[in-house]
Amino acid sequence: MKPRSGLVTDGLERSPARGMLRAVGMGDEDWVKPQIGVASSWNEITPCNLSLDRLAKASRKGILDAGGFPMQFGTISVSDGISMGHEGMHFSLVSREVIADSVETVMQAERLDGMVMFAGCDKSLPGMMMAAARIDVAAVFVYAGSTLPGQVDGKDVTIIDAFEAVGACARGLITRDRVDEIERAICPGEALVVACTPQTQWQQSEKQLGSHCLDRLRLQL
Amino acid sequence: MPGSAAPPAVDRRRDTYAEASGAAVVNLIAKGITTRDILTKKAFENAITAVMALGGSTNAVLHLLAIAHEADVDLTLEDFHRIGSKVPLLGDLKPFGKYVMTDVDRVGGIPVVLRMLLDAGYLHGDCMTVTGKTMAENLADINPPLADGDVLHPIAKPLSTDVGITILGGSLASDGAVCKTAGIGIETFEGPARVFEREQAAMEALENGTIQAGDVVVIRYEGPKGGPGMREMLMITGAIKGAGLGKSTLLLTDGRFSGGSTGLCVGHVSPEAVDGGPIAFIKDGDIVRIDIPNRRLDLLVDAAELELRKVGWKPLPHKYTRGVLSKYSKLVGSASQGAVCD
Repeated sequence: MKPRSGLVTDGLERSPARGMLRAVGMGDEDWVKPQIGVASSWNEITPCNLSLDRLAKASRKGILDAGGFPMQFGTISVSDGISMGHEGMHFSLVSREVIADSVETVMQAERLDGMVMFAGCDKSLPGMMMAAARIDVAAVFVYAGSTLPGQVDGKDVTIIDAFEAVGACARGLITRDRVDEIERAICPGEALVVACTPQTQWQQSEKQLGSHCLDRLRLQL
Repeated sequence: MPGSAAPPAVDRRRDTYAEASGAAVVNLIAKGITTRDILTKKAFENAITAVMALGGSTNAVLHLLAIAHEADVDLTLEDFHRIGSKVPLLGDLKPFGKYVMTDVDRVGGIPVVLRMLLDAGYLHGDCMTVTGKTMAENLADINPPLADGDVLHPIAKPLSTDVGITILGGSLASDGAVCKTAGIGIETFEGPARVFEREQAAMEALENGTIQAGDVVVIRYEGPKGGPGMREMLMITGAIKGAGLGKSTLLLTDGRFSGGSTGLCVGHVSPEAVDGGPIAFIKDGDIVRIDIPNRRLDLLVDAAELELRKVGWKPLPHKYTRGVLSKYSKLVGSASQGAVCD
């Protein structure tokens, strides 16, 4: 059950490593358990990644109940939606390699036996899977899930509508106010925060969003 | 985890999938199943099949090639053509269709599509999965409903049988290019080139109203190495569509597109401009022709003239000489092989 991590837990020479591992919560009964990396690209930079820490923590229970020892670690991700159309987009595809390399680095250095991976953005999904394929350990990937569409005039709108609205407005086909309306509706991603935070912050979100988005979310949550 | 693709991020079923994934990985270790036991050639063929049935984006080509490279699986652009030319389009999804992933979830999720494809013989049901069971076994456990006929169409009544993602060759793309043809309804297009070095220049031309119906908008020096980083062009494709030019212009780039991009857009043109690919030698007014049924992208300029243009040619200098993109542009390979770094 420990294809790799015996290298850091077993024998006289690994006493210093065990000392470090004791400080992250491992005890004598844990040395026989497979060590499972829980990799997530959680951050507060993009709505797509907001839920990942919660999901990563949920996976810990599954790992513990099945007889493994979970060890959570993080990697980066960037938002294509935010970096679109300017200098920042140069850094999007390279983030796939950075994610793959960083997950590989942790897994290989620590000799973890398997991993669960959580990601929610375009480049973090393949980046995680590339790492798993590269190091060839037991691995399960879980997607964060897609963003709910927002609504304008009863019609679903997504970030795609906002990009198209820019062109339509530049050609004088729609007004700047209409663009603004779409902008406020497309990404009710704060739902994740709303679902997990106290009432005061809910109210704060309501000010930032079109209230119709949240009405819709209240129904769904 | 089976069934976990479609539920939205805010849905609490996600916590259940996350917990199950923890148990699943320990089970995989107990059974001695590792990633490459799952990521086989057949598994990639299944992935391509699902992408095509759902009208997935051209990024799927880039990323599946890269993941296959890491798994030591021999996957090429031709595999996308071979599979894509057989698989019917079943999902009526944005950006070309009506619905979003939440709607797919509402009618039963991705297992609905997989079951239809499996029953019709398009999928390899014997592929191992993270549950320690095969894909066919997982689908039998889920027992998904039949297609609703609106968001997801049954195999007998597909939305389209055209190729979803067309892999192009031809004189402008000897190493390949991709074009999302799902729902496009255009077979050929020919027009004069409007050449832009990088995206911003094209965006300015669009905002100035100087891009017209009939134009072939060429955006180059956006490849993996020359960009660097193969930028997504949702800004310009979204704006072109918004301006009502989505089906009356052809956009051509060595960069790539977002899943949100629609219209007649050819990306991943290889070899890229910085490597001296033919895209580097297009001039304003040259006639460019795309022929989707014959999978060709051609520059209609005679060979002698093109040879003249190559004399003394130097690529644009690299934009980044320090940091991650400087390293990246030294290492990254062709988009036609997934733009990987080793």
